[in-house]
Amino acid sequence: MKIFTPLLLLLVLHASASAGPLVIGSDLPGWKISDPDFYSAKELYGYINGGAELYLEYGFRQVSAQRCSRGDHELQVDIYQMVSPEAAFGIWSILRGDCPEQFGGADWSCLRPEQILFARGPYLVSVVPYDRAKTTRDAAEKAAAALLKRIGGRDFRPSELFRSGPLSPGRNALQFLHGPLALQNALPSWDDLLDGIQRFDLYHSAFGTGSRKTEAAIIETKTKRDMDRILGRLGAADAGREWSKASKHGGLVKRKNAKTAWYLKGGQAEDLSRRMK
Amino acid sequence: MASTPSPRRRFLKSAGLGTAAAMLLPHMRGTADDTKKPGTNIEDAFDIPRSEASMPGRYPGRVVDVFDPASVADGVPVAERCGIMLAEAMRSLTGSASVAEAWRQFVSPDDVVGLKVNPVGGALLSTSPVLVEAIITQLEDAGIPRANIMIWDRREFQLHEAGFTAERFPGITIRGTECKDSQGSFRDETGRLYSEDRIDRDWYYWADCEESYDEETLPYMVNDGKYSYFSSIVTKDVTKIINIPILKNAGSTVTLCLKNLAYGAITNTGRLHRPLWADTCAQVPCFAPLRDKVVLNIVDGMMGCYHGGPGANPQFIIPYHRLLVGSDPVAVDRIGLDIVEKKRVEMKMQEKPSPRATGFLDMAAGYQLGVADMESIQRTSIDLS
Repeated sequence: MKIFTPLLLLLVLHASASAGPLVIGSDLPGWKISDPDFYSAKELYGYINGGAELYLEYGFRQVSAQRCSRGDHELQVDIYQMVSPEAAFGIWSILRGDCPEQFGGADWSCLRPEQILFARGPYLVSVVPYDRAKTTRDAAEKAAAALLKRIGGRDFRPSELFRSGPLSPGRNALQFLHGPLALQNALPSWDDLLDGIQRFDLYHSAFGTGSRKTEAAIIETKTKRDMDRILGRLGAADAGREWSKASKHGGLVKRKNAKTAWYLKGGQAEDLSRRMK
Repeated sequence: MASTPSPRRRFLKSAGLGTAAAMLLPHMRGTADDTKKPGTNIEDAFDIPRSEASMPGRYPGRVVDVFDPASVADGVPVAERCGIMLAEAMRSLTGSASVAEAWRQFVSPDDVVGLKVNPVGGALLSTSPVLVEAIITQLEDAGIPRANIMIWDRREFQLHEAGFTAERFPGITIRGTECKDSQGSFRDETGRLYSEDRIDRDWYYWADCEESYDEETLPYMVNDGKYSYFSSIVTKDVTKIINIPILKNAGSTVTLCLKNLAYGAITNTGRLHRPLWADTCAQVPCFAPLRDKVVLNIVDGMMGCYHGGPGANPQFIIPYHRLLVGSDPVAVDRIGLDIVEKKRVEMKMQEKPSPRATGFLDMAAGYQLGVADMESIQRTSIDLS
C-alpha cells in the first residue's frame, strides 16, 4: 500500500492537472456545481457544432462545461483550453465585441450583464448567468473571480508596438486573427488580401475617430511566397524596409523581413510610419 | 424514391463525380483554392426529376418579413404576438383570407409533418418553443392531427435541452437522428449505436474528404468515411417538412434555411465544415428527400445573433423582433443575410457586406433551389407596431 500511495497521488494530481481549472463548491457556497463534461477537439462538434471550426483553427485542446444552480438560478461555465495564450486571446478578441467594462483587473476580459468572458493563460473562460437576477449575476462574478485567480499563468503579450510603442492607442482594440475563419468573423474586408493563405498571423487594430481613424496591422506568414502574394495584392510587391504605398488597397506598407510586414492606413498612418522603425 | 444502385455501381459512380461536378459548375468557382475542393456526388441528386413539389415550392422568390416590437419582452418571445405574426405572414404569403386555408396550401391532414428546428444553441439561441407551439396550433386548426406532427433535428438530447420536451408538447413526436437511452448511453448492450437504426443508407451525400472520429465523437457523427447518410426521419418518417431555423450569423454570412436542412439531415458532418461548407449547404438540399418535401421555411428572428454565431455567445444575442416566411429557402436566406449584415455593419463587426457571404446562395440558385438575387426577390414587409 505504501508503494502505491504516492503513485495514486501522482495519478490523482495528473488527472486534476489534465482536467484543468474548474469551478468548485467553495467558490459558490450554497450552489450546486455539476460535474464537468469534457469535450476534446473532435468532440467539440458535438458541443458547439459549426462553431467548433473557429476554435480548431486557433488550436484547441479541450473544453469543460459546468452548470451551477441554486433554486431557479443557473449559470453556465465553459472553460476552453487552447494551445497557447495567443490562441486564447485570439478567440477572445473576436468575441469581445464592443466591451463596456473589464473584469477583475484582467487585461483581456469583459464584463457584461449577460456574460463574463476572459482570456487568461491558455484558457478562454465564459460565465453566462441564465437569468437577470442579482443573485445569479453576483454568483457569476464570484465564479469568474475564483477562476481568474486559480488559472494564473502567462497572459498573451502583444508586440512592443502595441504594448507601449506607437501603436499603443490601438492596444484595446487589438485582434489576433489566425486563419480564414477568424478573418471571416472579424475582418471580412481582408478576405481578398489573404485569400488562399491558410496559415497566417494577423495582429490588427482599428482606432481613432473621424479624420484620425486608423487601421494598423502586423502580418506574419509561414512562407516568403505567401508574403509575396499578400504584398502583390496590396499593390506593394516591391515593398522593402522603407515604407511604401499600397497602391491597390490604400495605405502604407513596410516589409520587415521575408515573412513579416507592417501595414498602416488612415488619418494617423503617415505620422505613425515615421515613428515605426 | 431513388432507385438504389448496387454498392459497386455506387462506388464507380461516386469515384468519377468530383470531376463531373467540377466540369458542370465552373461558374461557381470563386477562388483559386476552389480548384482543390473535394468532389461530391451532387450529380446523383439530379437523377431524380424535379416535380411541382420541389424547391423553391409554391412561391419562388417571395419572402414575407413580419416585424413586431412587442414580440419579445425581457428577452423572451411572447406567445400571443408570435401567433399573430405567424398568421399575418401566412396570409400575406399565400393571399388567403383564412389562416387555415393558407396552411392547407402546404400540408394536408394525410401528411406527416416534420418541424425541423435548430436546438444547437441550447436554451439561449435555439428555435423558440413558443414559435413551434404557434405553428402546431395553426396546423391543428388547418386539420393536421397532432399525431401527424413531429419535431425533429439531429440530436434528440439537444431538442430536450432547448425545451422541446414531451411535457411541453404532449402528443407530438420529438425525434433526433442521434439519440441516447434513458441511461444516457448512445449504444445498446451490443455496442451498436441507436442512431444506426435512424439513418437510411440508400440516401447519401458522398464527398471526397473524410475525418476519423474517436469513440466519444462517433455517436455525434454516426459514421465516418466519405459518406454522409440521410436521416430516415426525412427519407421515411415525414412526408412534408417545415423548416424553422433561427436568425443567426456564421462569420460574415448566415446559417439559416439551407444550413439548417443540410447539416441537420445527414450524418458525418464534421468532415464537411472546413472544405465544403458552402457546397454542403447548397448541395444536400438538392437531394429529393429535402428538395421535394420542404414546403415552407419560417425563420425565427424574434431573437437571434449577429456575431459569435453559430454558437451561442450571449453578448451578441439580440431581439430582431421578426419572422421571415417563404417557400423559397434561398430567397429567405438572402433576406436573412441582408438583415444580419446590416446589424453587423451597424455594430461595427464589419465595414460592409462581404462578397463571399452569398457564395452558398448563388450556388443554391444555380441548382434551381431558389432565388438569390436581391433585385429578383419580392420582399413583403409587415410592421405590426
